[in-house]
Amino acid sequence: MIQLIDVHKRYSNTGDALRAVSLDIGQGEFVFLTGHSGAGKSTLLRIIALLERPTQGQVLVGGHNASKLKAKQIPYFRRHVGMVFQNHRLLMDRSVFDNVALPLVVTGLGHQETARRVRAALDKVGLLKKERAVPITLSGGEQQRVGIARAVVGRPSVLLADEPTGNLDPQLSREIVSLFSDFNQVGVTVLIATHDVALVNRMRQRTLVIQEGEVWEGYFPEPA
Amino acid sequence: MNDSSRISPGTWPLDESKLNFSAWAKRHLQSLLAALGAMSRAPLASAMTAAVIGVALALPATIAIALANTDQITERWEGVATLTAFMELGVDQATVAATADAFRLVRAVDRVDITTPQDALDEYRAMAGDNGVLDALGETNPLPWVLLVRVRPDAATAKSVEALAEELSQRPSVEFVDFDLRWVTRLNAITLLGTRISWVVALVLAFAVLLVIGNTIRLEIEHKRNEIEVLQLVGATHAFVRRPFLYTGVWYGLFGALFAGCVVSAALAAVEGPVEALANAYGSSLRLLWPGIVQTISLLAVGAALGALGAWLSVSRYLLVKQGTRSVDL
Repeated sequence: MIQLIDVHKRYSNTGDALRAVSLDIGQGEFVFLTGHSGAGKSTLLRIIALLERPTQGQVLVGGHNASKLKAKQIPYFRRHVGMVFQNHRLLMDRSVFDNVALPLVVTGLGHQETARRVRAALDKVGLLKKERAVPITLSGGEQQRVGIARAVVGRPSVLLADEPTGNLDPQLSREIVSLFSDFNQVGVTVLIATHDVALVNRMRQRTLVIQEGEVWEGYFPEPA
Repeated sequence: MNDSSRISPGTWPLDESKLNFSAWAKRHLQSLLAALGAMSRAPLASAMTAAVIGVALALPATIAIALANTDQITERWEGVATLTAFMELGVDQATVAATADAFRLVRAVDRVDITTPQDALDEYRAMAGDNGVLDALGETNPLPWVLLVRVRPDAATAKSVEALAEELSQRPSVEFVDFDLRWVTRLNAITLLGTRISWVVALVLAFAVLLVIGNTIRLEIEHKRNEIEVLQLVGATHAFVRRPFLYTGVWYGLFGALFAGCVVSAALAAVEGPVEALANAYGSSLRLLWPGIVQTISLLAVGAALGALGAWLSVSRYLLVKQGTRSVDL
């Protein structure tokens, strides 16, 4: 599903962010990406989501070679990828419902079908009663769940999360990660970047470690 | 090997989902109204932007309507092209009548009227008032016989009237032939110049409108940067991102054109009285020509088109610049 071959990313001002990174994540996998802040986690996620292009190397996501995609195709590519951010990236001047509906609105889905799917996503994250609320009135955990609802409402094949539990206490973090597990259960490939080692250890899922721009396998669960 | 053979069966489809017409029209209508709603939330700023655009559109619109009025004058003038043939001093009435009859045989001549020296003197006296100068002349009348030659409307072009004047002035006993078509020719030249100037002014000001709208939209893009980034993150196409700004531009252009229409109407209302007085003074039935439905719609269409174009350029520039850089901050 996600394949990186010898990917290198260099920023002109900060130097190498990624060096010769190769990884392969299959369909339906649940993978953690850990490492210190600044180790290159975000860069890696950005490259997978085609928010950035690698300096060199191949990126294959969803059967597409990133370097071969035309600019016109990228929006359609992104509709297959759900993204969750540490700072949620919600639109503060719109209701929870409207925020979650965005990925469907851009596809031109009909009003009724949109409403139905938005409510299903909000129900899944336990925020159905807050659909009329404005994000600023919600707690950090609730805002993150709105972000997750927005990421999954378009039924993506891949869910990428960058420090989704960054600002949350352990109890809320567990709830958030268990949500990702639920989506993984129904076949969504999940990649979560986090520096929360305790959380990663507890989950006992495949873990990739990134350090100084290089990636290696940290933990690989025994086949059940 | 081509691309498709390498793609695995699970390849994500990236083809554009085609909307049916009613869904497409609905989206556009929504954008149209949403853009109007957004503008109404900042009425003063929106009105000022529209006013600036309106002023820029008003100047070429005013010149255009002024030229249309001038055209109307030259057309009317050409329709009644008249030559004035002054006879040599001392010719007798029979000679004058014979000359008039000869003139009547010329194909381009519609009719010929004879003004006697006495008529001319009376006319002059009526115009100049009884100021004693004429009395000083005593019984001698210094004015010549005059033939007023009305040209047939179909021959009333500058060229044929000039040829006719040349021909008539060759006749015996004719001192010289004057015609007011020279004045029409000059007016035509001035009108042509005016038309050119109006085009130049219109182009320069159209550019100004583009800049005003482009800049307004650019500020709005800056204001909505976060929203645009989020939209692109969830898979919005460039067209989707561009659409609300395009409609904002269209509204600015339309309101600007409406404002310009009001300015032109106010200007016409202000000069209507004096123009009428001037026309009456010349014994003319000319009335001010107001812009018709076609001109009004043209003005609105030009405003809307400039608005859309300015917005399109502004958003496209933003999207293009962003494409090469980090598009979204995680």
